[in-house]
Amino acid sequence: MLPIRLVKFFTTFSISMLSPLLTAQPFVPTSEDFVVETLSSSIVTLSQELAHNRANADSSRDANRLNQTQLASLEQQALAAYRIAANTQEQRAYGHTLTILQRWPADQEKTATIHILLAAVLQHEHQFSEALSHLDAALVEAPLNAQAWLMQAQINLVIANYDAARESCNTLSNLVQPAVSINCLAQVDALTGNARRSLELVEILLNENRDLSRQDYAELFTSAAGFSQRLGQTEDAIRYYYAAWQVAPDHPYVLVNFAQLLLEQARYEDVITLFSPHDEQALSDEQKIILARALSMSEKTQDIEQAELLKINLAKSFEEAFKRQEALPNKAYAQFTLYLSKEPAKALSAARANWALQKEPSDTLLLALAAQANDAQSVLSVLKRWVDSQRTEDVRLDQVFARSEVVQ
Amino acid sequence: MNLRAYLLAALIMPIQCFGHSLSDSYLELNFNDQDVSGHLQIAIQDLELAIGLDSNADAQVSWRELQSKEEKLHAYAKSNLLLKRADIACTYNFGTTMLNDLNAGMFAYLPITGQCASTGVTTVQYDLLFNIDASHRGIATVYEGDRLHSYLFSPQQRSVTLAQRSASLFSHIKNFVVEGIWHIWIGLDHILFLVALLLPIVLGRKETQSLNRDYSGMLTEILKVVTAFTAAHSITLILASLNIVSLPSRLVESLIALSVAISGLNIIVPLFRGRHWQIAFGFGLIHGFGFAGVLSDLSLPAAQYISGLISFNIGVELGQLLIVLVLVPLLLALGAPKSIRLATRAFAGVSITVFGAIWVAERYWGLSITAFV
Repeated sequence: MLPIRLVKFFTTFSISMLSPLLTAQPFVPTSEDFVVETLSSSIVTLSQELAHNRANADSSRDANRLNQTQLASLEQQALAAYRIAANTQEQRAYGHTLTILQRWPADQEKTATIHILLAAVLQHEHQFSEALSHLDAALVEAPLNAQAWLMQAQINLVIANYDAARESCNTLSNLVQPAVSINCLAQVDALTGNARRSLELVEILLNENRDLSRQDYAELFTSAAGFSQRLGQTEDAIRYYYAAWQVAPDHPYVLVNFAQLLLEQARYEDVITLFSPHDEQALSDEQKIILARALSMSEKTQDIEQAELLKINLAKSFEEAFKRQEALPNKAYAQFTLYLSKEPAKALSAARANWALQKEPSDTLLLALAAQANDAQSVLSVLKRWVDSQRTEDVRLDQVFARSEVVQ
Repeated sequence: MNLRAYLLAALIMPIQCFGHSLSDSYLELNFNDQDVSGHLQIAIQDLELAIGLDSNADAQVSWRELQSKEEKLHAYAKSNLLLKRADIACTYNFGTTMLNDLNAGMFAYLPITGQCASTGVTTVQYDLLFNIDASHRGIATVYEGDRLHSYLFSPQQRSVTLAQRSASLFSHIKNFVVEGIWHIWIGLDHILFLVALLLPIVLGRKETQSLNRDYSGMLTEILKVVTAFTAAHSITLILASLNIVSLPSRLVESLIALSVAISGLNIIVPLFRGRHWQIAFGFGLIHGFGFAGVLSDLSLPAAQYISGLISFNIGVELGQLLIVLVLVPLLLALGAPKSIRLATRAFAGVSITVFGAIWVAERYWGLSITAFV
């Protein structure tokens, strides 16, 4: 039997040589029954929604001046479109929501709901400051709107504006049930030097509260998993992610973080199994990268081939994304170049661009690893100072700093 | 309305979800003079949202379903893709729809062929899918001659104006210089006329001049001939190009042929009797009209008329100079013996005269003599 390294070499080499031949060429199917495309459920739902809206279109309306009924109808359409987007994560549904929201006449005051929906779409597109502006506007309209406070807390958490996030979470405590507000505060505290206390609080909630919904459980398990992972309690982290995954098996955040943790623990088969129920095409770039990394560690030729094909598809996907010149997938590209295409300089550049936008623990860790791969001591020193100033606890970061002998 | 059900998942658990591909279409256009060609590729998923392809609602789009909607698809694409030049809409059509399996899924591939106005500013207006999806983008690659442009269409940028078809001044001048050189090189009548003028000067020298390698008189005479021919054809080239003087092309071409025949005869029988430069000037005036005809075929752009005219003329002169630089040393290499020079003159004289005479017959009387050769 050929050694596994030799198999990998020949597989990689032959697929690389064949990749130019994989370039698509226009063709005409030979059979009328040829299935051109199987539509995802998200596209089917969105298509039905569009057909419904077309059928009920009010042709007499003046787009610049809508009456209250028409405005209410527009708000309902936007909500319906957003519901599809949030449930399916279909990009076209987010785009459609934005199209509807942009129809709101410029000279008519937006409702709090319209502002919140605009903020949600902009948050999805990582336009955080614009999203925060809409949330401010929503809170002027409706100061007790829990959604707006919650979103504000979450965005401030992502961009590492922890004081503002804490303030939003505190306001929430009078507006929502304890499970939501405590989890909100625990997330902020966990990033500012109180990870252990945060984990204890969430565990108490999980153990003692009997009125939690499935959504509450999914959110609390995910928080507990993240806190445990950063504290170095790997087995607990796996246990919590597993629990969250059982409650929300399709949630992309749970899936990607659980898979990432399993990958870090060299549990490659588990990663492959975790993704197996999902259509590969529907996976996010981050998920595809994790899957490709797991597959490439397999001893099966078929898995190695699949990893190589994923790698080629990802490269094409990034090429297309960069043609757009906007909403650049910097985080995924940094991961791709760091782990799959082995281009550390590109990885560092993309990780820096990502970190300038968002500073969640995984973003900070990615930048640290990219800096380590480039032996960029200055970047690591800046990161270390920042992490210390925030009192962020993350054993993985500590290991990177220790390996690189980073001093302030 | 309880928003939490829709929003919370994206809030408590941060945003990491770009699993579904973004909506992009790909447009490639190739503007070549009046012709436009290229293709438009639209994702099947986008077409389902825009015109509804899945007729039987089985969540699958078959080739039959797509073909049955081809007319609607073409109409939709055409109404949202407007090509214009000089504010006049280009007329274009989509060819038979094909498929292309790209990374982001299956795309309908629509070949484009059409025509635009010959000159003017070109604009491309793209409105596909923006009324459905504000995140949709049209990624365009546009070739204009050998120049490549890339554009990104978005709801905020639905139209682009291509830079006026203006190659750099240097490239423009270079093109017309090359055309000038090329024209004199492929125009056998101009070459034979030059040969016929130069041959008596080079081979008609006295034997003692040849033996003593005395070239001064010969070079002066060549310079006079070349300068006279250049000055003359430049005058008429400019006058004709600016439409100040115009002659029927049949007459011009016939007179050029006659100039070749007479000059050829002059090699055998000295008709010009030392008045080479005067004859060169006189016939050069006729040849200039011939060059002007070629230049008009090249469709000089109005904005670059003068530079094009001058560049073309410079090209003709350079081409002519190169012929002289090759021809004169060759003739000198024949050596001093009178017999060789006489034989060369006889052969060249007869050949050039015959060619000139045949061209006169063909161009003036419309006979097809060379077709039988």
